[in-house]
Amino acid sequence: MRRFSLLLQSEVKQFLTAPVVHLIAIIQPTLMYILMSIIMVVPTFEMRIVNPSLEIGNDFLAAVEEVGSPIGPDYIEPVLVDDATPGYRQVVEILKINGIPTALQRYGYIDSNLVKNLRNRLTASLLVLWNIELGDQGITIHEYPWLPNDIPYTVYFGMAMIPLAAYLAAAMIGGYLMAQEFESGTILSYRLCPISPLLILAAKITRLMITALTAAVMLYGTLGLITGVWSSSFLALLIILVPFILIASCIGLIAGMVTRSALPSFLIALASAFAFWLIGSGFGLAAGFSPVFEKISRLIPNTPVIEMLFPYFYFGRQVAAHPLGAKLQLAGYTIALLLIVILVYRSIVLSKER
Amino acid sequence: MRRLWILIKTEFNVWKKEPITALGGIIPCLFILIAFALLFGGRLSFPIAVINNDQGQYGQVLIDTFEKAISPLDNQPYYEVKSFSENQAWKAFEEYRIEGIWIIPEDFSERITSKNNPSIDMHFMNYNDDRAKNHRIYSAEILWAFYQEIGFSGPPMEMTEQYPLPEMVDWVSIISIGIVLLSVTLGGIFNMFILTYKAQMGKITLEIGLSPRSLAWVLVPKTFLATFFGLVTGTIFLVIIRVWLGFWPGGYIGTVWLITGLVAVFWIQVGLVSGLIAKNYMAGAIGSVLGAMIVFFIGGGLSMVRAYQDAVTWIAWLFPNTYAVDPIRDLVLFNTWPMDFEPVVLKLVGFAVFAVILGSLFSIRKLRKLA
Repeated sequence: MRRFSLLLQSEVKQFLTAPVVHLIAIIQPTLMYILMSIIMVVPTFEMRIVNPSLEIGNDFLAAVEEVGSPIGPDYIEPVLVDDATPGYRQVVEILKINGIPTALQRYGYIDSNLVKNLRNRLTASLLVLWNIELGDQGITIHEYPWLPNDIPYTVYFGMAMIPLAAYLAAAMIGGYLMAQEFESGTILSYRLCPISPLLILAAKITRLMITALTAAVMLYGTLGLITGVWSSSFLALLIILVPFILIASCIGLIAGMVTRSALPSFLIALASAFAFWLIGSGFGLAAGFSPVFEKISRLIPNTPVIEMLFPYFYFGRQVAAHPLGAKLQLAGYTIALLLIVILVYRSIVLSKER
Repeated sequence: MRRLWILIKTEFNVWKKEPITALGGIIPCLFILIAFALLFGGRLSFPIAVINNDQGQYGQVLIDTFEKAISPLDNQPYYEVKSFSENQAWKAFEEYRIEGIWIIPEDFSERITSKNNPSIDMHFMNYNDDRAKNHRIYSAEILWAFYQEIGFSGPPMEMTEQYPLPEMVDWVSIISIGIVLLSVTLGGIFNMFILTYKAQMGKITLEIGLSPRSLAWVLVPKTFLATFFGLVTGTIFLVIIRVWLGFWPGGYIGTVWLITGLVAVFWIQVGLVSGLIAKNYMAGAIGSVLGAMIVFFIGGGLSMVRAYQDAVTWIAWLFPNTYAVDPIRDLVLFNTWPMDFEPVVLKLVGFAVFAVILGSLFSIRKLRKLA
C-alpha cells in the first residue's frame, strides 16, 4: 500500500510537467457547455410575416400567438415586415390566390430542418383558424406530457456532456503523459524498476480517475448553476462515472503506448471522445433517433452511462429498456479494456526487445 | 525566391517524417460527419402507439393519416405508428421505446358526426422541450391532413410554399460544410504544429533565434505549407462529401479555397502564438484544436448563421469561421454566388492580416528572446 501511495504521489506530481494540458483538458468541456448552452436550440422561432392588408391577416396574427406550450414558451415570435422577399430565411405573406385567402411561405436558401420547423408552425397557426371556424366539430387534443413540465434542452445536453468531460480528461491526459514517457525516455525506468507493473498501472489509472472526476464535477456544477437542475444523488453520479473513466483511461494509455508520440495519441483521444459523445446519446436519447443510429449508439459506452444518469436528473424516470444489461455492458467493456491495457503494457513497455 | 523555395522544401522534408499528422484534419472530422449522419441522416419519424377505441370509422382514418403526413426533414412521415397492444404500448412508453401514445376514445366518430367536441388524448415525451415542441406542432400537421382526408369544409386560409431550388438541402449537408471548414482549420493547425514541434524537439529554435536574417524566412514557409496542407485536407473532405452526399462546388472551387484558406491562415497563427505562450507546444496544440472545435459548434457548424443570426453568441463573431461558413454553403450546396461575398472576404482578409501581423511579431519576439 505504501508503494502504491508513493507511486500515486509521483503520478499526481506529473501535473507539474504539463499543467496547461491538464487545465485545458479539465476546463475545455465546461467552457464548451457554457458557450453552447447560450446558442442551444429553443422552441421559440422568429417568423417573418408581411404586414397583412387583408382582414383575415389580422386573425392569422392572433392565431400565431396561440401556438405554444401550455406549460412552456410560445413557439412563434412574429416579426412584421414590409418586404415580401425571404432574404436569408423566410417570409409569410397573406394574399388571395384564385380568390382564396392563402398564407404563402417563401423560403430562402435554408435546409430541410428549418423548412420543417417553419412549415409546422405555419400549419399550427392555420389550424387554430380552422378549428375556430369548425366550432364544436373541431378536434381538441388533450395533452399528457411524461414529465410535469417541459425540461429545457440544456439540461439533457449538459448531462450528456458530463461523460464527455470525464472521458476527454482521462483519455487525453493518459495518452499524452504516456507518450511523453516514450519521448523523454523515462519509459526505460518503468522497465527496470522492481515494482509490479499492475501497481504502476493502478497508480496511473487512479490519478486519471481523480483528474476525470474533477472535470466531470466541474461540468456538473456548471450545469446545475445554469439550469437550476441538480442530480438527486451526487454519489450515484460519481459511482456511475467510475467504470466509464476506467474505460477512457485505458484507451488513452493504450493510445500513448502504441503511438509513442504525443500528437497522434492526442488525436486518438480527441477523435474518440467526440465520436463517442455524438454517437453515444450526446444530442438525445438513442431511442429517439433512427433504428440504425440506436443500434450503433448502444455499442458506445456513453449510452448506458447516460441512461443510468437519466433518472437522477429526471424525477426518477427510467429510460433504459434493460438496466441490468446496460450495467453488464459497461462492466464488460471495463474488464476487457483493463485486460488489454495490461497486455499492451507487457508487450510494449516490458518487452525484452526494447 | 530561391532561398524561400529551399526553405519550403526543407520544411516539407520535415513534414514528410510524420505524415500521420496530416490526418489530424481528416480523422476527427470524418468521425464527426459519420456521427451527425447517423444522428440526423436516417429516418427521424417519432415512433408512437395508437390505441384506437373508436366505435366508428374515423379512428382508423386517423391512423391511416399518420402515414400521409410527410415531414420535409427526411421525406418520411412525422410519426411511425407501431403495432402494440395497449399493455405493450404503455410498457414501451415507460421504457422510452416509443415517443408517445395517442388514445382515440370510443365516441370519437360519433362526436365528429354530431359536432360534439371530439377529442384525442396525446401522451408524449417532454424530457427536452424541443421534442415536446415537435409533438405539439406535428400533431397540427396530422389534424390538418385528417380534416382534409375526412372532407371537412376547407380551411379559412390555405397554405402554399416556395423553395428556391427544385430539391431541399438536408440538414446533414448543412453540417457537412461546417465540418469542411473545421477540417481546413484543423488541417492547418495540425500541420503548423508538426512543423514547429519538430523544430522544438530538434532544439533548433535557438539557432533560429540567432539567425542574422529576418525570422520571416522561417515563419513564411511554415505558414505557407500549413495553409497548403490545410487546403489539401479540406479538399479531401470535399471529395468525401461529393461521393457521400453528392455536393460539389464545381467552378466555385477556387473561391472555396480562397475563403477557407483565409480562415486557415488565422488559425495557423493562433496555433503558433498559443504554442509559444504555453512554452509547451502540445499544450498550445490541444488548446487551439479544442478551441477550433468549440468555434465549430458555436460559429455555425451545425446550422446556418444567417438563419439564426440573433442566437449566435458575440464570442463567435470574434472568429472568422462564423463569417465564412454560410458563403461556403452558398458555393457548395446551393451553387450560387454569395450575396455578401465582398464584405465577407474583406473581413476574412482583415482577420488573416491581423493574425499574421500579431502572430509574427509575437513569435519573432519570443524566438529572439530565447536566443
